[in-house]
Amino acid sequence: MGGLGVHFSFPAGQGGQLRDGDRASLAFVEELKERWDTYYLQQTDKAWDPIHRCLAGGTLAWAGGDWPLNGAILGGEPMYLGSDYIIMFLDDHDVAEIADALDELTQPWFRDRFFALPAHGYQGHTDEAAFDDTWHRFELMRAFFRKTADEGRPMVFTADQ
Amino acid sequence: MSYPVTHVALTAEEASLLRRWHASGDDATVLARVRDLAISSAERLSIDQAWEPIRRCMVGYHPLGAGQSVFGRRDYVITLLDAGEAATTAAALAEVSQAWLRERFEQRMTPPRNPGPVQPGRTADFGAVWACFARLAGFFARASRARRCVLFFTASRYWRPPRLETGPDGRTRVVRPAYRPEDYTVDPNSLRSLPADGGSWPFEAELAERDGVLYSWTEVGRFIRGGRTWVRMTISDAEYYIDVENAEDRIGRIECVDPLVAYWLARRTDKHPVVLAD
Repeated sequence: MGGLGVHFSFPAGQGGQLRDGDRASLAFVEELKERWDTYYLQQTDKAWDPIHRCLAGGTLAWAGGDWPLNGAILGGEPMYLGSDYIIMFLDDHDVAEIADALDELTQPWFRDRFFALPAHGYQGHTDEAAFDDTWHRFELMRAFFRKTADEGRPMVFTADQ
Repeated sequence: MSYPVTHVALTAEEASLLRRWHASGDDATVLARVRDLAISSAERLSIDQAWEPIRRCMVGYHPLGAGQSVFGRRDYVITLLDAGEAATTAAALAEVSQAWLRERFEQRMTPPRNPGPVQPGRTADFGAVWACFARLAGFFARASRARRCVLFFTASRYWRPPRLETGPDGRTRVVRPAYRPEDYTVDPNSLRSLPADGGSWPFEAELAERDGVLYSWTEVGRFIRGGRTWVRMTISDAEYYIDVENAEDRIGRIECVDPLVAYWLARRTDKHPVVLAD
């Protein structure tokens, strides 16, 4: 999976189209992308893959690891069933639960899991520079979860594949 | 330090709606509507780094950012020019030549260099400033032709610190203003006294000794980056943070922490449940 990951938050009460099938889901996400309100989005770039692996037991499996940490990237409800795109929906309660769990993580905890990724089949870079980039993206994503939880907003995670 | 500025062209009806909300004390609704216009209006212009040079060049010729305030708080500046005032501004901007603006730019925009290790953002070069100015003049010309009012929107430097209060359930809670990147952005003035050349003492002494250059900063954590230890620090009466590298037992690079991460760090210090106030 080599696409770029973005979390978007939106007002509670919006996003009903996400349940109306792939085309409607995609249209909703396209609308968020077109709007590109940087106050309400956070890019994880390609780091969403190793971040998810660190939070979810080392693999990119949908069901890997434990809730709520495994929910930050590939958790919640899948809203697109095609293979070319990922759209995962988290309601405001999910966001708050995940934010609380992410708050407790330390860099040594994350570092141990990152450098163990090759043992789980991860083929990306796992040197110091890659770790620095992944941790930086993780810190921003975690802060975005906290802000979004404070605001009581749901979010979607999106990535093209 | 200046913040991005957005101008939006509005109909008279949209402008009077903002005035009515403001007159009835509903500044939260004003801010929500203005934020929405600032990212979604088809008739808007955002200017970032070039705004301050443009503003300073225009001082004494034609004021920019003026107009009637439609917002009662100090954390944002939201003002309205009516259609006549917008037309006057359009006419004034149309008269400005590139040579005139360049002369003022050279007179007024030679910045003093910070003595500290972190310099303010690179000053926009004149070409970029002129390009933004031309867009601004074009924006006002279009607004004037369409007889539009013009909204001016930017964050102010005023910081609203979080406060403690007793909630309806009788328990203490933290009332924290909704996230605004400007509140968590490092003030360059706070870095002026920090050394650019590694300092004169061993790293830990710079942090802990009364005469150390980082003594007035408080350590909040340590982490590894690039194989080296960094110390994350904050300063009293603010909620921004810096990262300081330990480079072979001397102060190395000093970097400003991203405002969103600073928000997260600030939230970690809250000892009571938090409610956001807009």
